[in-house]
Amino acid sequence: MAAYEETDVLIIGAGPGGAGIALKLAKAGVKVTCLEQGPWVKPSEHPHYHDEWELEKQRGWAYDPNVRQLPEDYPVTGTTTPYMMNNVGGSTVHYAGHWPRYKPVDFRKGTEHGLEGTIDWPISYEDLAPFYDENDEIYGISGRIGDPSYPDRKQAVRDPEVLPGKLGLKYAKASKDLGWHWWPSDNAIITVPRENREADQAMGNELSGSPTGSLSTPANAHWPYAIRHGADLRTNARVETINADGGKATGATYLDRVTGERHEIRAKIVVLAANGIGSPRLLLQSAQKGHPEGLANSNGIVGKYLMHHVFAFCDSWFDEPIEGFKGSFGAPLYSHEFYHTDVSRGFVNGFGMQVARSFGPAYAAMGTHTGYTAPWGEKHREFFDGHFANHLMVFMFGEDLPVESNRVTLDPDVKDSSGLPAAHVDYALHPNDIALAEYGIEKIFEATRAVGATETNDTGVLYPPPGWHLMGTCRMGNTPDDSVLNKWCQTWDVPNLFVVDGSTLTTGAAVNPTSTIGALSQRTGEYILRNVDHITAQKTTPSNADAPTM
Amino acid sequence: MNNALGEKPAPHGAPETTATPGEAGGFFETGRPRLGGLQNPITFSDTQAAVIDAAADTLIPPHPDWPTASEQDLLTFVGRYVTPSGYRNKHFPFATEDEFKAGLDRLGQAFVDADTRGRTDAIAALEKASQEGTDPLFEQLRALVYYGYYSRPVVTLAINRNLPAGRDYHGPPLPYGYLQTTEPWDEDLLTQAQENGSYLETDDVVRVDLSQLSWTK
Repeated sequence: MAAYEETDVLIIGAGPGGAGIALKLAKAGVKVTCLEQGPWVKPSEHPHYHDEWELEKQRGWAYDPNVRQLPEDYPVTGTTTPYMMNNVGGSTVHYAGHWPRYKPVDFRKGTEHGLEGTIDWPISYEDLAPFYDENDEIYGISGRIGDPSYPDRKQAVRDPEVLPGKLGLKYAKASKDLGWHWWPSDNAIITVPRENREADQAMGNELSGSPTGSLSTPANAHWPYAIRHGADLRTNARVETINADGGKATGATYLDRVTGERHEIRAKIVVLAANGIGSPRLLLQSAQKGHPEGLANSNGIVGKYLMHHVFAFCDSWFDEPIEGFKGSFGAPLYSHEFYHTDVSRGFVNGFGMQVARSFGPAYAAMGTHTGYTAPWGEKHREFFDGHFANHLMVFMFGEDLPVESNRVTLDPDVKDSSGLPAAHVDYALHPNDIALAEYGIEKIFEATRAVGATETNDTGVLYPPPGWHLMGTCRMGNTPDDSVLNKWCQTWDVPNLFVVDGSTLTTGAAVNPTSTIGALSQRTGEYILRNVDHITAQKTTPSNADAPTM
Repeated sequence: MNNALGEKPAPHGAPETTATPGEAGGFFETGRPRLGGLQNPITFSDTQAAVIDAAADTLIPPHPDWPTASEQDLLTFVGRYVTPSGYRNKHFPFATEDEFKAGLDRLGQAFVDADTRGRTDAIAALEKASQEGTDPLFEQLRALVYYGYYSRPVVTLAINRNLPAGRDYHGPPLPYGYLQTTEPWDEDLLTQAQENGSYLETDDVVRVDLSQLSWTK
């Protein structure tokens, strides 16, 4: 009896990168196995029905695994606040669901400025556009077609947009009065029921997930259907090493976190989808014969060019109700007025202004997003009464440059609960990022003051930035000299090893990355499906020009 | 259920003792900390309980239009969210039973018996120690009192009654949501949104003039 199992396609990670490929391949009858180091998150684990929901957000639902410290988490050391989850659905189980796409210019930043490690993507917006649409339909996206700041996307399927509330209407009016661009956001929040999923009830708190299924995540949009089509999803399966032999990936060795047993599974094709920190970590810890610096890392680029986006949180208060506790936390609207590079501002790239909801009264008392904590003692009552629900928060988040020294490595000292090396992050803001963010803070307050904000507070440029977006560390590129992956997300070193997650993104744009990760997952899945024999026969990874087409 | 090493799961709601199987207390990790904190709250002496109540009324002073903090059973709330003695202190607000109680004991009956000025001075001293990084008790107390007080249903009712902006707030996001009380889009506003915004076609992307960058100078 063999000491290993066999599958056709082995996927590591059950988040957006892996789930899209798994669903597509399983529906086509391909034998797919997915290893996920975390469990399923059950509806009863969400805090939304509990009086203490605001406190629970800081505990088992903390964004940072170093704070949350659940059994499935692994430590991440260094200059970072990595906001990730390790479970079926990946970090989308606790995201806001904001769902913008990249714009055409975002795929050509090497041409536009080429600063630091910036290169052009090996594909264009037009290459990815049909996969955006395909991906959106699987997830379930609410929004409104017609944003003039994007190419036509009439093929995209949309539920009606989420309600704006006083908060959304206030910032929309500000943008309108200033003659700025604004548009109702696309959100991965359904406003029409789907199978086993309830429509949005304007509940808020999607940053602790959604027990009703209103928040679109692979846990409800992909995996139930992939499993129905025969996909083998193994939870609590922590990969120790991706194995290789003769220049090809052969599978992986993993630990069952419940039993402690070690297993080997072999595959014709391996897809790594463990996020922008987890994927480089796994490649680096898979150093082995023939790959002494880590798998797919002969050029030393694995882990480099980490991007997070540059962030600042901007709070404004009004002397009238804003009611930010109402409405889904997916942003009601955004402004891309300052999205495009205008060098007269003194920096390249741009930023989005994303209007956010608030939480409840404890959030107001504890200082909202900017640490503006309610005073204790005799001034407490007046402060609280004047600030709770009179508050509007806007995320300033901009495109950060891909800098080579911003990187993920293995921590030589710290281990996870299975004894595997922790990830270590080095990240510094570039002066261009800082200049961009400072300009963005000014513009946000220009808008809120124009519509009557009586008080403002901001975090300044956040360092380290909140690591919701983990990007660039196994990037797609044009040659083996500038990247880890070719244009089909194949690693340059190992032709039957693909990487599809945030690490794949060549540049970060100034938008949330999940819709683009999902679109790349659809595109890669389609490519594997159409070319499986070609891929498994390849001895070396083809150049972008020589690779078979779709 | 035991794990592969024969360890038992941690008592319901209790933080786990170790992240390394086989070490420390022999309880392995089973998942998220229990919603609502400990099933069996830790208990306090009469004096410690009086200190917590007095601190709550000092942080959020009584007001005729609002529920009084010390009457909201924050004692139980605190007991549910402080880490019991002997367990890993791994979840917010990161207060361990022994140290937390020692801090309450230092405030002691003198704090309970003090007038408003005396209590205020004592809490201010705690705040200073917290800012200096020598004693975390102030941060823990404030977090527990603010989160506890503003999670009580009777306080939610007071918010509804007293604050125009909080008229519709109903505490936990579910089961009700806010679908019926959240304003919809204004169609005229949406029509005007189409007037601003543009994008660059792929083939129109060209090199920008990098000499204008301010941060390079």
